[in-house]
Amino acid sequence: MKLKSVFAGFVSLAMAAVLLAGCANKMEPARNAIAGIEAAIAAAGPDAAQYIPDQLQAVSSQLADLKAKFDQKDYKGVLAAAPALLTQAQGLASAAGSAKQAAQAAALEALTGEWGALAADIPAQLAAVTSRVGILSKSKKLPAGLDAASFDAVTAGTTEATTLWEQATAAQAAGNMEQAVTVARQVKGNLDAAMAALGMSAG
Amino acid sequence: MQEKTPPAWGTPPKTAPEQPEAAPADSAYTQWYEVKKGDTLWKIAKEVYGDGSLYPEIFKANQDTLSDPDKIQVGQMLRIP
Repeated sequence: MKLKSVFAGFVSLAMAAVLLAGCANKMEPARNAIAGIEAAIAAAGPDAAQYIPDQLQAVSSQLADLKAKFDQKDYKGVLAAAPALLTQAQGLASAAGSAKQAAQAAALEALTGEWGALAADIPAQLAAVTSRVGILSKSKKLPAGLDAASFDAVTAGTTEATTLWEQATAAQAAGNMEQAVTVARQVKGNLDAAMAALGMSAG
Repeated sequence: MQEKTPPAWGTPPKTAPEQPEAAPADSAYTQWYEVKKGDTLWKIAKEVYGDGSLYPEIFKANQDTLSDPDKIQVGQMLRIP
């Protein structure tokens, strides 16, 4: 009877040892699987957060679930779910790249449209303001509502607008649409201010 | 025997008759003024430029419709450069 009890204890210990060994065997692969998924997410870089935030969030959320499983020592569960999640994580980089490319194309299209409007508008406005400034500079007395300081500011603004417009058209010709539009907006601002100061109306 | 070249003063140079300056192309930014009773180009120039003596600028900009700076009509639209 005593011998039987000792044997049963031995069997129990052996089974526990086998179970522990099994767990230990799966713990490291599970840890590696999680590390692999984390590396794939990191490889997608900040572009993923900027251009595919929902997709990134979905993968990150599943990774958090996987880590919870790992903490609960459910290594088998981690290993079962990891391959599919790794595939999703590895897809983030290319998805972010495509989304970035599409966003840049859309931004360029918007800039091109804005440039078209500015380029159609500014030369005529610049000519009108330059002409008026040129005539007023010959005037012995400025018209009512325009003092010398305001006129000096308008003259300086118009000179700057002329230079900036040359820079904007040069940037556009060089294919730098973002700079071209940024500078052209500044030109437009200068000219609108000059027209207001000179009492000129648009349209 | 050398060929004689005609004297330089022999033939007066042909010059094209003086053309009136073309009016500038109109745009959304062209400034317009409607002539009122009692207006003159001098008076308009005085009002918009502060100096009546600059009236030729207005005349030049409206040569497509004005032939004489002293002849403007009420209701006429003038470009103000």
